[in-house]
Amino acid sequence: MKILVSILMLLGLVVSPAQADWQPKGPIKLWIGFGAGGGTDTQARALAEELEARRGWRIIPENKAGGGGTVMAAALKEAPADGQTIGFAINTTFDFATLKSSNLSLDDFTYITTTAGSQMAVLARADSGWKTLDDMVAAAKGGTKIVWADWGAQVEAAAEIVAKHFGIKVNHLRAKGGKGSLNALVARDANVGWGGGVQRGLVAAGELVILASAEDKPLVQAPKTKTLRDYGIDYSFGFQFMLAGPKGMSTEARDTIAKAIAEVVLDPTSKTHKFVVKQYPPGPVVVAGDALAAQLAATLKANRRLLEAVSK
Amino acid sequence: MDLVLEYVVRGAHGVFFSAAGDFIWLPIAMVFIGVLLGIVIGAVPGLNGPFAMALSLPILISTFGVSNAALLPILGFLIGVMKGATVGGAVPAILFNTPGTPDAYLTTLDGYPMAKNGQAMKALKIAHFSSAAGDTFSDIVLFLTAPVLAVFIERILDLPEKSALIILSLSFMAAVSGSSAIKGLIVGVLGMLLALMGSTLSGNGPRMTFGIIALGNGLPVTSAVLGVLVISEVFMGIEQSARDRLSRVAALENPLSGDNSFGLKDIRAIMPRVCTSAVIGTIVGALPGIGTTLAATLGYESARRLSKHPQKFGTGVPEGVAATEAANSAVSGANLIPVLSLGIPGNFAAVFLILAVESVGDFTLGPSLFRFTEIKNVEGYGMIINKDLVTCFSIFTLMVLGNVFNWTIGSWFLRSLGVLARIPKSVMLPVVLLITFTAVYAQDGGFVAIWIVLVFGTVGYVLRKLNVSILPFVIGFILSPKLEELVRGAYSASGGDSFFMLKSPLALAFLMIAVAIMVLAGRRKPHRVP
Repeated sequence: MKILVSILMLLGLVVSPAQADWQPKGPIKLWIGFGAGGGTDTQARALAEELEARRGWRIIPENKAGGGGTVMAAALKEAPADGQTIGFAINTTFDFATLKSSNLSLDDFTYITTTAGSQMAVLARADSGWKTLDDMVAAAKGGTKIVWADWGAQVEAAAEIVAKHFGIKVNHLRAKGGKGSLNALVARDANVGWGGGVQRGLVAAGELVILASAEDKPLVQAPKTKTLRDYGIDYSFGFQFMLAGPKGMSTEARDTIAKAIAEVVLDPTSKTHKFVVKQYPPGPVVVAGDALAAQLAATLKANRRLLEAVSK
Repeated sequence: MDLVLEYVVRGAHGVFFSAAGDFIWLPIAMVFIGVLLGIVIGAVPGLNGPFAMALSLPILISTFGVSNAALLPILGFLIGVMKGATVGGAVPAILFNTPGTPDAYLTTLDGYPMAKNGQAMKALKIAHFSSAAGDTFSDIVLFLTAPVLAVFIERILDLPEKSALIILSLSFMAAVSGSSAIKGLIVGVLGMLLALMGSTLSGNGPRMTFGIIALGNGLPVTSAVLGVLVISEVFMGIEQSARDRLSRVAALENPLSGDNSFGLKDIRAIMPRVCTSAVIGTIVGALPGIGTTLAATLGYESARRLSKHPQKFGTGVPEGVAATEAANSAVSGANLIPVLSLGIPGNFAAVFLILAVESVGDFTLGPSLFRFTEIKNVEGYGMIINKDLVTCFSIFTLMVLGNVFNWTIGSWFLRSLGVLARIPKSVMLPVVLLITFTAVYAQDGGFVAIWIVLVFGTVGYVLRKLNVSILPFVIGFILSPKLEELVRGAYSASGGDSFFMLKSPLALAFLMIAVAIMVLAGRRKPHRVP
C-alpha cells in the first residue's frame, strides 16, 4: 500500500510539475459540512478519491454535520491555515449563516472554489393537482393550509418572501437537509417544499412536480416552468457547493488546490463531473479565489436585504 | 404484484451480484462470519449480541467506509451477529448452568437438568432447532407486516400524531424495561436531555456545548452508547471478578450417558410449544422495549401451563428448553417492525442497525422506504426506481441468509463451543476495553471520544448498580433529536399553535395511553431485573 501511495505521489509530481510550488506536507483533512449520503457528501467523497488518484495527495474526508455547515465552519476557523484542513459546504454556510452567528464571519475563511450550483425548485406532490405557483397560491387563497418544508433559515426566509409577495400565509416545517425536506413532502407532513437538486429522481418518476424555479433561469427538468423573477419576486435562491479553508491560507496553496479541484470537476470522464451533471445540471460551476470571495460578499449583502424584507 | 416481485428480485440480486453484474461473495461471507461470531459471543457468559454489534460497528465502518457499497456487508455482519447470538446463549446455560445471555436464564431450568441426566447433546440440538425455528417465523412476520404497517402509518399519522407516538413508545419502554417505572422514566428523560447538546434545526448555532467546538453536532452517538452499554459492563465485570476470587465455583462435567438422538419424533413432540413460543416472542418483539427476557419467561410459562405434565418442568423436559429458546429468538426479527415502519428502535440490537444505516450510504428509513415506484427507464436520464426499497429487500435477503447459516452450520458449531464459557474475565475485559477505545477513537474523532466513552461508562455503571435499566436511557438518547424535529415541525406547521398536540384526537389518545401506562406501572410492586 505504501509503495502504491509513493508511486502515485511520484506520478502526481511528474504529471503536474507546474504546481510543484505548493505541496501538502501530509494528509489533507476534508471536512464535510453535511451528513453522509447527501449531495454535498457524495460530491466531496468522489472528489477526494479523484484528487488522491490524480495528485497523489492523501485526502481524508470526514463528516462534520450540523447547523447548515456551521458546525464544520466553526471547527475549520480554528484549524491551522496550512492548506491541509479544508471544508466542503455550500455558500449559505458562509454568506448567510454568518449574519446570524456570534462567532463566525465572512472574513474568517479563505475561499477556494465552487464546484456546482443548485437546481433550486419550489416543489409539490403530483397528487396535489397543482402545476404552477399560481395554482398553489389559488389553493392557499381558497383556504388550503400551506406547510412549506425547508432546511434552514435562509430558505425559510425565501418561502416567507414568496408568501408575502402573493399575500398568502404559509407555515414552515424545518427538515434536515434537502433530502429531509423531500421526505416531509412525500410523507404528507408538508404540501410545498424546497428542493436544491435531490428532487431529480422523484420529479422524473412523476411523484413530485416543479411549481417554479428559484434560480435565475428555468430548471433543466422543467424548461417551461417560470422562475420566481418571472412572477415579479426580485430574488433568486440558488446556492453553490464550495470549498474553503481557514483565514490566512497562502495564495499558492489556495490556487493549487482550486486548480486541482477544477481539473477533476471539469473533466467529463471524472466521477465527480458525472455526478454533478446528473444531479446539478447543466454542469459544474467553477468560481475560484478572489472572484469567489467577491461573489460571497455580494450575496451576503443580498441576504441582509432578504432578512430585512422578511422582518418588515 | 409483478412490481412487488420485481423489487424483491432486485433486492435479492443486490446481495449476490455487484452493480456490474459480477458475483460478489462479500455480503454472504459477512453474514456467515457474523453468525459464527454471534454464536461464539452468545456462548460466552457476560457477552451478548448487542455488545458485539456495538464493538463491531465502528470497526466495520473504518474497514468498509461509508459508501453505498459498504451498507450490505456491514448490515450483513450485524444481522449475522444478532441472529447467531440468540442461538449461542443456550450453550453455557445447558452445559454449565450459566446463562450466556440474560434471556437464556430460563433455558437453564430444564437444559441443565437434561445435561445432568447425560442428555447435553440432545438439549443443545433442541435449543438450536427451536431457536432457529422461532427466528425464522419472526422474520416471515416481519417481511409481511412491516411494509403494510409502514404505508398505513404514513397515511394515518401526521406530525403531532408521530410526536405523540414516540412519547408513547418511550413511556412504554420506561415502564416495562426495568425494575420500576419511575426510575425508567427518569433515566429516559436524562438520556433525552443529554442528546439535546449541539446544534439544532433552529439555525441559531449550537447550544449547551460549554464552548467546546467538538461538541457542535452533539455528543457523538457511538461513544455515548458504547460507554453506557459496553464500558459499564466492563466496570461491572471488574467488580465481579474481584468478588469471584473469594468464592470460586467449579463447573461440572457431565458424561453423555443418556439418549442424545434428535429426530422427527422429538420434533413432533416439541413443535406445538415451539409454535406457541414463536408467536409469543414475535408479539413481544414487535412492542418496543420489552425484550427477550420477558419473551422467554412468557414462552416457558405458557409451555408449562399447556403441558400435560407441568410438574415435570424443571427436571429436564425437552419442551422447557424448546419453549424458551423459540420465544427469545423470535424477538429478533419482529423487533425490526417498529424500526422499519417508524424508525423507533425497540432494543439494543435495533439501535445498532439504525446507527449503521444512519452512518453508511444514503439509504434512509422513512416514508419513502415502502413506496412501490413504477420501475421505468427514461431516455437520456436513466432508471427510475425506489432504491431504498430495493435495499430494504436486500436486507431481508441478508436475514434469510442468516437463517440459512443458523439452520445449517449453526447446530454443528454450537455443539463445539463448550470450551468458550471458561474464558477468564481477566483476559476478556482488557481486550474488550482496548477494542472499545480504539473503535471510538477512530469513529468519533480523537480523544474527546475517549473521555465521553468513560463518562458514559460511569453513568451506565451507576445505573446498573442502582438496578435501573439502561435501555430507556439509550433509547431516549437516540430518539430525542427525532422527537425534537417532529415537535418543532408540528408546532411550526400548525402556525405556532401551542396546543397542537392536544387538538388531534389520535395524538391525544396516544398521550393519554402513555400517562395511563406510567400510572399503572407505577402501582406495580418493584421487582429486580433478572
